[in-house]
Amino acid sequence: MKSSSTSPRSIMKLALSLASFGFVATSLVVATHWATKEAIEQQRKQQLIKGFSQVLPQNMLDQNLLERCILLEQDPLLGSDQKKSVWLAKEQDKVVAMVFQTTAPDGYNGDIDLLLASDLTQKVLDVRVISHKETPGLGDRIDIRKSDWIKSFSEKSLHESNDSRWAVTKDGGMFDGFTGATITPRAVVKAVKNTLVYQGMHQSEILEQAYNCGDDSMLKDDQDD
Amino acid sequence: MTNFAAIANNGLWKNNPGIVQLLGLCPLLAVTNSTVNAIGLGLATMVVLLASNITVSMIRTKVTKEIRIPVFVMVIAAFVTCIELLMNAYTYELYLNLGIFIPLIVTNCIIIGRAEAFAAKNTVKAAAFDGLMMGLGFGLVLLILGMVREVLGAGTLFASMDLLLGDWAKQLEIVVYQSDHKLLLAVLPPGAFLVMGFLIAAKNAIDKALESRSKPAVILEPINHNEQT
Repeated sequence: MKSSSTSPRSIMKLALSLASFGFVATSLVVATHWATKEAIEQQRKQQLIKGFSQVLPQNMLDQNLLERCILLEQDPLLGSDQKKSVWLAKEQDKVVAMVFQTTAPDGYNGDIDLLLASDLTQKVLDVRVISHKETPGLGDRIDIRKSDWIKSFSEKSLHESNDSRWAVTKDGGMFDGFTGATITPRAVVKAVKNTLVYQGMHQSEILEQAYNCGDDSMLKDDQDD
Repeated sequence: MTNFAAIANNGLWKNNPGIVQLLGLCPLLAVTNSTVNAIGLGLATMVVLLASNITVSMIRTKVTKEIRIPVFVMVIAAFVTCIELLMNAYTYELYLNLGIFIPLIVTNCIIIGRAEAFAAKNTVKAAAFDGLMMGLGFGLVLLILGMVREVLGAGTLFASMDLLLGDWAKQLEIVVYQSDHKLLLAVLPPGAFLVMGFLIAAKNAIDKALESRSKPAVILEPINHNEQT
């Protein structure tokens, strides 16, 4: 028995048997992947559309918003070493606003992903937190489900790139902080400010660029987060 | 030949994977900050356990012992990946909430443990029942932890059940109490350990009470004596 299990022949047999199990297992995963592929894509799109409808006014939402997407070069102002996307919102066929994916890298518990809509004068329309790991009950008040704090950004604009009003009240700025959590709102304010600075620097560039991340490429980028 | 009552007792109480074997503690403690997360992970684990037990039992005569472990791992990984894809497709927000803990089901020792210790030696029917009971035992611990922590930490029960069950479940949310100062500790990681500790203690206390009722506690006396001196 023992010698037979180490002979080249039986090793071959074992390898073949293992390979066939591998084949069956992989086929199962492939089949499920095909069966769920469309539903997953649909869910991702739905999630993005849900985000857009929260940061953009109703009249700027249209069917093709998802297609008018541009993949931005990685930039420290956007807070991540991953490429971020921007979507162009139109009204009567003219671009009137931009929706940025951006990240506050210095939250209390790591990255806070944001969706920020601003018009072409770099005035914030609205901001939403897409995902975060902040402390429940303290830092998680940046989440719209917990408090309205995030709405305090709307209608605000940046006057110059080192506008001192863009800080929490504790640092002499115009945004309220939270009791018990200073780091979280500070990180979000900074990220929004940085994104507006970025927009100011790159706006004309963005407007000239061709859309390059409609659907598939955009979905892939999303997966990395 | 197989004693289904014994299997059920084993999975749900005597050898409960959560509070007796203490397997899979990482997801157990990490995702139980709300009831919906707990149920989500509990169900996912149960399905994987059931499917892997059935499959392992079915192939137990065809797999030689040299390649047993890699085959089991492959079977489990395949099922977990399928579950992950399905949750991604049909319970998207719950999938986002549970995050890394869905793929991590692969590394949950309960699953490979049951495959190796039970399914590989028993009939398909018994293995299926064992998977179900072990999964249920694990799921119930998750559920209790999730409920206790949600009530203490957030003051609600069954909040956001719509993530799992669809929109109608929004009305399931019960506000137990409302306060500006909730017991935050309960939803943070240390709270998980504390609640878990009390749960294990309660289980042991019940076992002891049952034991002492069946026979007078003569055996305990010398131990008590030693402690006092």
